[in-house]
Amino acid sequence: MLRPGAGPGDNAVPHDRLKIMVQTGILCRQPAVLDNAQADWPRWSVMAERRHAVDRLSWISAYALRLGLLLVIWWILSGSNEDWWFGLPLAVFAAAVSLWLTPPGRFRLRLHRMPIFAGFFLWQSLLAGWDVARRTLSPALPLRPEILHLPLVLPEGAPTWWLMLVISLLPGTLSVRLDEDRTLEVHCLDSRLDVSGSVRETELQIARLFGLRTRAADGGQRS
Amino acid sequence: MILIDLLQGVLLLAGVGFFLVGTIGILRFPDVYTRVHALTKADNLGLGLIVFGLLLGAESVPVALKLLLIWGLALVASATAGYLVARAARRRGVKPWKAGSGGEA
Amino acid sequence: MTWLLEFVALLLLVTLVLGLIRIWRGPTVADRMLAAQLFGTTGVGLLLVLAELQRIPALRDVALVLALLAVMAVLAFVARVWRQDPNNHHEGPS
Repeated sequence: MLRPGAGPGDNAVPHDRLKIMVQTGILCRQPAVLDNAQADWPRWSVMAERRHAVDRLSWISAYALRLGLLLVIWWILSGSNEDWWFGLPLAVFAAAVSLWLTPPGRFRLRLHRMPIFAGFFLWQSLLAGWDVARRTLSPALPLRPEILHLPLVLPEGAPTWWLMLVISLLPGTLSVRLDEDRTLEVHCLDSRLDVSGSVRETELQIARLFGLRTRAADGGQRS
Repeated sequence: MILIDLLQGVLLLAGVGFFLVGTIGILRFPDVYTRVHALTKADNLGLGLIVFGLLLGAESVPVALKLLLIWGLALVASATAGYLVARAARRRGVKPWKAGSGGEA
Repeated sequence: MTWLLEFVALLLLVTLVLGLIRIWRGPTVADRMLAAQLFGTTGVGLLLVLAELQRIPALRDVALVLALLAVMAVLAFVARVWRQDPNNHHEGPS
């Protein structure tokens, strides 16, 4: 039931946040009636920048990427350049096994976007630690925990897993459960915090990391 | 050199401080969910600060990268563990503590 | 520098032991599962500091394995809890 046009639930949408999102050009709001979701949680849609079919090329590139990663890890673990007679065959074998266990998926990390994401993540975890420290050490123990149900935008698979892990390390949020209808249960330390806003921001960052862009989904199909 | 030593000392002490906060958190916080919050966030930041502190004294590039790799692994491990604990608690019907209601669920 | 590392290692040990109070008191199974997480991070930090302090680089590898094992431990715990009560929501302390 996704129809374009203003619905009764639209009145409660916080427009200031909406504008920021649209200006970034990554997410576009879908002006549709929300069937069961809370009114202040507008649905967005994400679509893959390049939908690459799982063809031979993607297998080869996935193999090369994983092999390279494993070789770097071997170099780090062994700490020397003299163990390659063991490390190289092992990496070749391990990359093949990893491809067999988890075939290349639809989503690919954009490595060149990693530094920006790392910066976002480091700053947020600093804030998160500070927030917890403040609450822990305050004699009054200022907590107002609550469980929120937030519909997700990110597609299933790797992006969702990233989101759920990262959310647990952000200030005041903790992923609890993912329901079948792609609603994420988030436990938050303080209901006065703008939890939905920060989860939305994180989704945006992860969408960028995976090279996903978004569009209005009025009547359109999800990729 | 003295400046680096000083920075290293500050990072290490700050890291231990956050570990302490995490432990106080799991002792003081009222229910499982809030305790997971304290443990995940404070301990991971503490470990990160300690890793960055040790990074300043690392003797070679592979050692420095190994420290970062260990932190990354510990981050994933801790976030996964926290999520699994919270989900298991939810499935078993452990009720989240509410402000004002008092007592443990 | 050595005294600082010793101090840091000692404090980490203290936080680990204090954290065990929560594991001991519970009250729910989920509270006890926090032990794996506690050892996973505090233990890793302690091992890294000790590796530097005692000049034993191999302890870093131990830390790495510990971080991996911590997740395995939680996975095992959770799998066991699920098998005990698949879907019915009965209260947790056991």
